[in-house]
Amino acid sequence: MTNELSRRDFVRTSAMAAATALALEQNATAKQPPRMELPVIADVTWNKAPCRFCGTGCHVQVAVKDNRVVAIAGDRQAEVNKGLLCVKGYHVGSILYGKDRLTTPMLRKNGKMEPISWEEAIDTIAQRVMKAPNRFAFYGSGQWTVPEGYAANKFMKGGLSSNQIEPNARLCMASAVTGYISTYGVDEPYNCYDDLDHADVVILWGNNPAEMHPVLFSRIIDRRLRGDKVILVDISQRRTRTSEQANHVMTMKPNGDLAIANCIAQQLIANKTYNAEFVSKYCNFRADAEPARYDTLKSWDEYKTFGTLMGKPITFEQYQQMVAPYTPEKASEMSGLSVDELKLLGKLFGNPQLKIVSLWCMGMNQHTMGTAINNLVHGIHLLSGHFGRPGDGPQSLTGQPSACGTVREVGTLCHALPGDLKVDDDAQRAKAEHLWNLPAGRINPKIGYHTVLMWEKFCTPSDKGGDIDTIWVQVTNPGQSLPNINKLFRGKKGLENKFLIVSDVYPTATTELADLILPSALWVEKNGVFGNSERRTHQWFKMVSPPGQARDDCWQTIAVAHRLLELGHPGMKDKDGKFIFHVTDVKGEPVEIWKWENYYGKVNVDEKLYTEYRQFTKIKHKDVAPYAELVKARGLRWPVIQKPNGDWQETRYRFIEGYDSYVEKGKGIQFYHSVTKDDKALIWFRPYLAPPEVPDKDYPLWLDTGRVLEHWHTGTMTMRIPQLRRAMPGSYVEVSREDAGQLGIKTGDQVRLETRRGTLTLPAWIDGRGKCPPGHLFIPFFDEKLMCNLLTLEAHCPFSKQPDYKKCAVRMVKANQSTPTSGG
Amino acid sequence: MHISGLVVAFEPKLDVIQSAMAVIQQAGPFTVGELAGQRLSVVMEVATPEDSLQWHRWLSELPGVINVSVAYVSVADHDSEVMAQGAQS
Repeated sequence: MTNELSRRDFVRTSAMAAATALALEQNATAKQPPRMELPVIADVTWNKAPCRFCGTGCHVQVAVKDNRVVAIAGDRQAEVNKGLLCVKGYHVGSILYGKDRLTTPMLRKNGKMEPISWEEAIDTIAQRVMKAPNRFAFYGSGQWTVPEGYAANKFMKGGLSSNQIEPNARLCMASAVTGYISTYGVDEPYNCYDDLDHADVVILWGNNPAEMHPVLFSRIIDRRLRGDKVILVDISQRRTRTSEQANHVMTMKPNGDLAIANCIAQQLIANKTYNAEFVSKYCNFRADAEPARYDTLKSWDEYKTFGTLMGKPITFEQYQQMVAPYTPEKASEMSGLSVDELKLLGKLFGNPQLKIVSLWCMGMNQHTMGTAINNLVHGIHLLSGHFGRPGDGPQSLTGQPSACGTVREVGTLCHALPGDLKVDDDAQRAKAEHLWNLPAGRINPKIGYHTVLMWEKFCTPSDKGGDIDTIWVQVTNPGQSLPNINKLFRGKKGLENKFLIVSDVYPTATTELADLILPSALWVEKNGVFGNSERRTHQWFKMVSPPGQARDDCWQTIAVAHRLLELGHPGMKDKDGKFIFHVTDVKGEPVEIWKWENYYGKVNVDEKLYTEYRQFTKIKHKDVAPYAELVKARGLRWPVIQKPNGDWQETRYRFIEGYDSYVEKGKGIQFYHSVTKDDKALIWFRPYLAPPEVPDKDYPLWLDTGRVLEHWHTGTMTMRIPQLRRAMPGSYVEVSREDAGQLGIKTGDQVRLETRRGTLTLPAWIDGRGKCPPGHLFIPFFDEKLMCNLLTLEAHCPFSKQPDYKKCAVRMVKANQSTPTSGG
Repeated sequence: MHISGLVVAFEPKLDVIQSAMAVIQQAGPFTVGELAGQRLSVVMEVATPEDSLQWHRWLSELPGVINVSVAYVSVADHDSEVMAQGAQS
């Protein structure tokens, strides 16, 4: 039957159907909730895709008509979001249609950007790389799809024999990586979002999921709606929207989390409420290389001289002595929490009947003691035995859609190889060379520059040690997101021999300084695979064409690699003389995928690359699912194991018997990549230390930076969505009522912020959306016109190399005042 | 027009739900659907892009409303287009 139906009626009907189905499903108590399908309309196709924004990994259904996305619905078959979307997912389809999409390659000639052909663009890059391959670096992100990141990684490490490749995820979750590796011997959470459906207590460590991971937060709120009691504890430097729903809001001083975690451990031991049996069976203890120095330790700079990622073994008694000074009274002075608040946390962790989930993201990771605080939070869960049951364990979240999938699993960091292998390990390099069919010795054992160092080298004149001359940026915006951008990005200005290549979808702060701009396809304009925060790998197909001449980032990488092959670069061949991205069709015939017309022709390049990559994931028990299984699913959590009947089974909880097939029978919990090779995890002691830069008489306030609900990261996509831009059009600084009163500042007044690194003038918002305590300011980082990273500090965790964007010293004056005025 | 399908979650008090529903029904942009327990499906139809977020916020801040979830949203405005309807399940 075919009826004429206006688009308005179609959309209204679809919208009501989707909302009603979701309401019924959320309300359902039956095991099989009612399921209503989206309306089927001629000429409109629906297909699945993960959301393009954060690391939650929600799935959406995308409606396409006439090669254009016309509607988005939450995917009710997706376990992650169960049909829900947050306000950003609400607008995810619109990110494709900003009026200023980049549509043609552009090269800077005589100071002006001029359109060029793709052939010229690819040749320009290849010639530049050919001239000095060891001075070339690749900078990507957790928004790279898995195949894109894999191709870039193989191109650099397997082709150019260079480890100068980094992702922007260094800036957002590197401390979580080092935290997992130094605790369990292997990266990534053992648990999953199912925990949120079972926890009695959720502790948020500097985490604001109400705005940053709203769909996960709504899972908790939904449980309360159904009558479950869920205690929310919000430990943070400032009040946020999350605080409004929290049972306990605990406002801490910067770096206070280190003291809080140690104080919980102190109480567990002092009160004998730690889980001795769990600790005995599953844990060892560890501290930094020279723990005797803790006694006289005074500063972070001093800590860096003896702190180590993997530390040395200590006994339980030594550990007990180390945490002993962190009494609630002492920790209260360090952290700013009251003694009662600290005792409450001690009691919660000391209660074995409760199930406790700790969640964190940038608040703990963007921290000069980032690895340390990650270790400590894992440690209190292990010490208390709040680990291993559904609803009972620590879990980090990520901010980008494939920070886990593409960065941590594919290994696009300067020290890593796919599958959690390391470039400085002879045997692991050999494994990678074998899987890539490369001659022995092709992969360089020397770790490349981490992000801060890479950009510092790029912004330093070549004759003064700046040995990175060319950087190719894909899917990220370092011109806005790097810390201290005057030094680490804008330092490129005027350096004639430095060359910046940027593949992106819109003009950004980074393209402003670019010498070559390449227009990229975005989201459902290409095939893709992402990996989310809970080890879930998900796949989607291209649904619409990219605009103009925009092309896939992955194709761009392969095309440059092939041009280098033509130019005679020996690294672009494997040991049989074949191109490193050699691909064949179903008949075994080679397909020239470096030619754009073939890229979506005879083969699915994504599937080819993913299938090759999948071999690496088996090495450390991170087996991702076959591509064909991903096509059928709304993501699958690795390790995905084939059962005797041929079905593929995902793993909700790693290391736990009954969930994880790799755990030996009878072991209960088995940390099978244990640092100590005895299947045990490590409970670390790490000391409390004040941040490296603290307020003083010249810069008397704390500065904190972060995100807002409406905008995703640097706002390059969300600022192009009219609804979101109008809702939050520009940046601001949150000021407490007390500081504002002292300085005579009203909401909307222009204030000038000054740090030792830069100056920024922007409007004040007194007790705005978030509420800072006195002496503390907050600026979101989405606004390219008011960049908070002119002010921030590049000091970073000594192990993870992740910078601390959450605390530095600043002064604030009214913009029309010439003399700095102290505040706070 | 900008059209969205939303789910409004209420506090578990019948009088609060009834009064909030009455307010929503009287507000211009909403078509109220089925109440499932504490959850109400609504369609929001607004004229301008900025209106959608303003009304979303209005709805979120309404007394008795705990949460507003988005289930569906149209991406582009093709009001003048006519489409053929196929089978609808």
